[in-house]
Amino acid sequence: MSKRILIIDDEVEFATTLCQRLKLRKFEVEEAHSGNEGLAILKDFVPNIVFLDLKMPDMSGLDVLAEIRSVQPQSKVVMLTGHGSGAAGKQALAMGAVDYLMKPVDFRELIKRVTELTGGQEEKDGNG
Amino acid sequence: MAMDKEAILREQQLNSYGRLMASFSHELKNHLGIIRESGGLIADVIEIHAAGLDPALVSRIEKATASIEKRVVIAAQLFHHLSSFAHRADMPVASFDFNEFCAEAIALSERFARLKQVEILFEPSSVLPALYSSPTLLHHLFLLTFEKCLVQMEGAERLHLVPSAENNGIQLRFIREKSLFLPELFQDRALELVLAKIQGTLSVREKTVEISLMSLQ
Repeated sequence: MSKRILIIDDEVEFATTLCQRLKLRKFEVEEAHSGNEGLAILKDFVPNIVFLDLKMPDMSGLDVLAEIRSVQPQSKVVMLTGHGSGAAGKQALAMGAVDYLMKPVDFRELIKRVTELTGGQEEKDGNG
Repeated sequence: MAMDKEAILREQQLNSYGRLMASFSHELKNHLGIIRESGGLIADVIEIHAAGLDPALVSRIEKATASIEKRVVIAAQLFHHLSSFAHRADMPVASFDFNEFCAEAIALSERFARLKQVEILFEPSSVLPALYSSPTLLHHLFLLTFEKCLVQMEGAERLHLVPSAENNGIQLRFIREKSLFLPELFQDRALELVLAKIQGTLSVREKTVEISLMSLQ
């Protein structure tokens, strides 16, 4: 069974491209472009990992994180942050996120986190 | 009293600049993220379909995507320093890691050296105490000193930046390898003002400019 990933980021092009790259590696991926949209998807989709942007216009990433921890505690949340100091990422860890990645995200680093957190193996297919 | 108001105004102005720069830097990182993922997606697709394509074309695209990745990494590092620099203005006085401060100041000023073909060699110290001082004034002092060093240096020279722990404070030395620094070029009103404000001293001895800093009380 393929691992499930949810990407929540208001940068549509970023979320869509990341989604495509993960699908090439046979992950089952959903994307949302706002906090509310992400929480709505979680009603029908239980991801192994959620990649969650820290700063979004409708809800802050930390508010979305708190909600995910409440409704889908089995999903592991990795924050995506552009904050230079990493302070916001550390705050997210204290609130239950399992990790954080700095933007612009290093895809190899992201795949490494997915592999570690799901115990899976990455593999590319030809459906690009 | 008038001076106090002026100082408060300057502080608030710096704080505003810092917030704007941090926000701008954050926004640019988002653009870099999209460029990076788009380049990565092209690389993924080419890798998957390489067998059916002209090898020369594949090679050209692979070089282009590798170049995108390399430049994004360099730009991201610069924005990381810019973002940290911007947040320095959050607090007028703060306790901070001096090695990190130097790395940031060098990254932001390195272009001036590159234009003069001067190579910067930073030698961080593992035993520095935290410094409690004004980060924005220290950046100002660093840039003034750095520029005065560069003015006296010619192409293909190397400038070593060496922080060390000295007498309960920190010393930062700018050391060139070839000629001597001219002390008179460091006699400058702007330098005097900032040194007085942060209670630091500057001395010039042969190939070395030394800045001594103490934590503010």
